[in-house]
Parts: sequence; C-alpha cells; structure tokens
Amino acid sequence: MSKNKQTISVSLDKDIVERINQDHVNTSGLVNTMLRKYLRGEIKL
Amino acid sequence: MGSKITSIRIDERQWEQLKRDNVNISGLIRDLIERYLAADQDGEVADSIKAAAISRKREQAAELQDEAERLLAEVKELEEMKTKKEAKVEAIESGGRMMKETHEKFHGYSPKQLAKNTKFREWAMDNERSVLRLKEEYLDYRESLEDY
Repeated sequence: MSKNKQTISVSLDKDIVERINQDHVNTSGLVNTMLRKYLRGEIKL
Repeated sequence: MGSKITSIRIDERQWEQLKRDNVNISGLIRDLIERYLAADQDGEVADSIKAAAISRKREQAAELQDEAERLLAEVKELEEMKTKKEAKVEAIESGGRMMKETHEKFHGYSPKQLAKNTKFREWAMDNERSVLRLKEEYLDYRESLEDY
C-alpha cells in the first residue's frame, strides 16, 4: 500500500511556495516526480 | 523576500539513492523547483506532473476500492455466520425432543457410565434404539451442544 517516506525540511522562498500552490500541485508530489525524473536522467541541472 | 520552511516527504528508495550518491538533497530540491518554475512558462511540466499525480491517485483509489470490497465481503461472511446461540438452538432442534430428554436425564453421566447404566438401557429400549446406537447418537448430540 503506502510506500515508506523520509521527511526533509527545506527552506523555500515564499513566492516559490505560493507559485507551487497556485499550480495546485502538492509540493511533495512535485518534488518526488522531479527527483524520479532527475535520477532517471530525464532532467539535467 | 521571505522564506518558508516546507516539509517534503520523499519516497524512501529515492532518498536512499540520493544519500548513496552523496547528494545535498535540500539543495537539489531547491534547484529542481527553480528549474520547474523557470522552464515551465507554457505549463507543460506542470501538466505532466499533474497527469502523473492523477495517475498515482487513481492507482491508490483502485487499491483502496479493492481493499474496501474485500473488507465488505468479510463483513458479509461474518454477518452470515450463525451466532453461537443460533447454532445451539439449531443443534437442539435437529436432535429433536428425544435427544433433549435424553440430555436432561443423562447429561451428568460420562460416556463409559452411560452404557452400563440401567436407566439408560431402559430409556434406549423405550425409544426403540439399541443401547450402543443411542449412546453414539446422544454423545454426538452432547458434543455438538458443548461446542457452542
């Protein structure tokens, strides 16, 4: 069922948090998706 | 510009891989979010993330639905099971009046004592049963009562 998770506290600019919220995207969901893409090499920094 | 501490829950598998790779996770998260915001002028990334989130939520909902159906089936099964009281009443009814009376008269006797007991033998004959047959029938009946 639910996967094990690790919680991390990250300091983000307020306007970034607001922008994410405006997109109606769950921050953890967004980060996990991007991390997955990053680890698969689909996103390069 | 102010900042806000945000708690982020990361899938353990990804977390371990990043730790193994000795990555500064907080920094990486900030970089990824900035990239998301900068690159997403046309909303393409947001849309794909939204689609992925919808797909995950659908999977979770389907799992929960399966679980709910399984639990409801168990509830139905439990509801259909006889209560101990109902089962005892049924055992008494199926044994009939004769077994009920036999039990009233001979419930205090051990199986060994039954066949030797004169009253039990007479009771068997009165009811047109052999002693052995009545003893077996009665012990089965008694056992089914004790089970409940």
